[in-house]
Amino acid sequence: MKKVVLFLFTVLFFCQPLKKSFGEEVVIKDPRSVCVIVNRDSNDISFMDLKTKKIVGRVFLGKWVNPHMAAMTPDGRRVVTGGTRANKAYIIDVATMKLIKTIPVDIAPEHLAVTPDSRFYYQGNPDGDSVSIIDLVSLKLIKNLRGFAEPLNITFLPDGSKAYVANYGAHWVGVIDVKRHELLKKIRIRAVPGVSKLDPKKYLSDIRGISNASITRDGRYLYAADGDLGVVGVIDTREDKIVKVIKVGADPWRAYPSSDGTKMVVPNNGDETISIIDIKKNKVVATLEAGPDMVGVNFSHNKAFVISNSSSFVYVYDLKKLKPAGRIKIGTNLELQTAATSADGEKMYLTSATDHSLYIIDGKTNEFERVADVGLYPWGSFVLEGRDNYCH
Amino acid sequence: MIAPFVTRCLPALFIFCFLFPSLVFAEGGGKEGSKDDSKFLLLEEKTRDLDERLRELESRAVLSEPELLVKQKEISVCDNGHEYDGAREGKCPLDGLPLVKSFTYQREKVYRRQTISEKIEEVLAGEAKKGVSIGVSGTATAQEAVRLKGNSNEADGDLFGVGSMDVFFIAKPALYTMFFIDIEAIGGYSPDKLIDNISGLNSDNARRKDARDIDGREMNLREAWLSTELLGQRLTVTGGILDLTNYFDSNTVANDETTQFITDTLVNNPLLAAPANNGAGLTAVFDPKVGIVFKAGIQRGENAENNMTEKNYSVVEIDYLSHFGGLPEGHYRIWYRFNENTKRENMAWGTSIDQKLTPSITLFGRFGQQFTSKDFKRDDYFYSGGVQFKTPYVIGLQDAWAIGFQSTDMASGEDETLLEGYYNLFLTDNLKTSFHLQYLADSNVGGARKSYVLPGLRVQVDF
Repeated sequence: MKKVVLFLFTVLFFCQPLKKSFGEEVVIKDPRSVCVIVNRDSNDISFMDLKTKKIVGRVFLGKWVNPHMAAMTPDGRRVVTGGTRANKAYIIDVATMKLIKTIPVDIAPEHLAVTPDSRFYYQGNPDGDSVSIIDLVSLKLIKNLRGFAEPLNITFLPDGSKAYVANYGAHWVGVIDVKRHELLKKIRIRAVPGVSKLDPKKYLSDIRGISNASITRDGRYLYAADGDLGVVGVIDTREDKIVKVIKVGADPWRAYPSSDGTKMVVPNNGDETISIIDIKKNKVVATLEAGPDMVGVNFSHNKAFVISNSSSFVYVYDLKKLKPAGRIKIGTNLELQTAATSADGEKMYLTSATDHSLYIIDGKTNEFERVADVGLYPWGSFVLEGRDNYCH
Repeated sequence: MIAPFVTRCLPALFIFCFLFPSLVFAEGGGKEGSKDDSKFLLLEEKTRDLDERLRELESRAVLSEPELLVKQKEISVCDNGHEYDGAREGKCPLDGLPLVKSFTYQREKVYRRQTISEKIEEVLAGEAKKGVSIGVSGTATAQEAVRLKGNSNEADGDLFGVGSMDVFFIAKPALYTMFFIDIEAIGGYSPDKLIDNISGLNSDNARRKDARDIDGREMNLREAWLSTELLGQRLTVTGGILDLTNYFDSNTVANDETTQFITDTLVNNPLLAAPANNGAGLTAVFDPKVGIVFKAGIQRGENAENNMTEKNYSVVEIDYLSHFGGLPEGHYRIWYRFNENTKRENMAWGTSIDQKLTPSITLFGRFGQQFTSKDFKRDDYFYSGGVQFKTPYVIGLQDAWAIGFQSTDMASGEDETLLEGYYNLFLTDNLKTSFHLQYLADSNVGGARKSYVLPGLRVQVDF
């Protein structure tokens, strides 16, 4: 009897692929037609149709996963995400919206990046001080690359040859050789001032280092903001060296490149201002008042939209005139998170955690509409080929 | 379609043969069967063992409880109280009454894992938000007066020192509302005691009730106000005991006596003449965040004796954020004030400008004109200006230095010119020190003309 059962099981197992060849249900035909939303507390990834603005499906990752950031591979086939409390990476098939693989990584995975050829997925693990490297063809972990200090964000060059890892627990940017998956070098942004020895309470208790190395649209330079030092270091990606250090405001978060590639906008959370850097001149051309707890910047119609997490405002700036252009009040008592900009640069998809919504902002008119109940505590969004895709 | 089917089922057939050889081949089936049985028994025992260990673990482990969060949701309700999820059109299915859109709050379970330290931090942050924040700021200055010209009975080589400490209390009793108290203690000897001048050689000391008081220790309630934001947080209204110089005649590089210039007229325009006793007042600031701001303020006058509304001081101001000719940002402010009434001699106007030339160099300037009565041939005038430098023209990344001058020309005949330079050394977030050099170039206040050089040192701590 047991043997018969085993046989039947075997037949079914080998005939399983038949189901796909007959056509497993394809839910998403065009990966560019959806917005991917990460929901931290409902532990799922939801997909919203960009035209109908309806949730077309969710992929539940499991209890206690608490995903942080999700991204779609450039070929549109997979969505990858790290479960911060599960210490695992999750890979979802976009067409069928099915979770196809769960891979144990290191401690507390947060931000990630995918190579431009969609071959490798680099998952940053800040608490594990490592970057997990996953092969997206074999769906296997290649290695946990160590030697980092709270790696927060990873940036690939457009040709995929190198990856730059920003270390929030240090003042250097790591360079990874993507062919060999090895940490090649560390680029220090700036020396910590000697006078810091007078303040061990500040410098030895907590460190606000580099959260991201933001690449220019042409891939030539990286702009890495250092929170403690109040500067942005400009790295030449051909020679991997610092070519300029630009002083900005207090506690800068990171640099965000404008759509036209001429400016970097840096929110300074220490003094609630933004610094606008001219990329050609490599200097600050404007310092403007902003709001508290800025978590992201998006661009549309020559304007910068700066998201303030705790004030429920999105601050708008005219990048031609270098002046404030008002602010958009999204609601009351909200916790705004990050936004993705559509591929055509017209709309921004802003997640709002405490009211579990997504707000679609029109970049031209500054009007917005709310899509409620996208999931519990939405943390971030992603649009394939979108102008701005990032996480805080 | 048939070919894949056949290809995929072939392995299954091979396995069937392997599993049931007795059906396919005649001999050897019995011995294979007993081996499989014992393997199976072993597996069963192992599974039972694992089961038991898991049960034991579950019984001893501390289970994580899901977080309970309260969520706002849309509902539709009829007059009889029948409630439905979401926004519904039409009538109530139960009693046919029309449905009205509304909202409610409901609890939901959230499977969010937190570390213990995150939980503690969250609780502490919540408590901090509810409670009162306390800040402390202390400033100590030392100045020496070196007389270059003037009467011999005035200061020469004398050393002066003034110390002040402010304790701030900040609370947020409601959304977009702040309550603020500033209690100050100040004491010491200022050069203003011995050197007659109108510039105010120590701006910290100028805030005392009697700036020439030699015994010099006093404690007073400097500010106590409530502020709230209205009209979509575009209008900020503040009422209480106010220091109007915090709202009017601001300047990015010449407005703070604790970290910038020490001379009072390089901190504020003397013709603004805001009541020094910080009486009860009200300010309104309308800022639509498009680069232009409108301000208005009213305060009990210094000479009021019987009630709050007599002899009021009022001021209006317009601020503009500029980007002229490709320059970095500049702030251009113009104000007009009325002291007690609209008599000519009680009115004045002025401007305050700061303009960045580069991210490191900022120019500043002030101008004021106080109208005088017909008894005088001309009005009072005030000018000031200067420049501030930041990195890379400094030693430490966050240091700053500046030079400034001021010139006051009163209709009464008193006039005075003063120059000051300072270097502010940023040591830590909580500790700064600065070196000052004031040159009272020419002053006829108090009679004979005089000039002084006053080197000084200031130390400032704040938490």
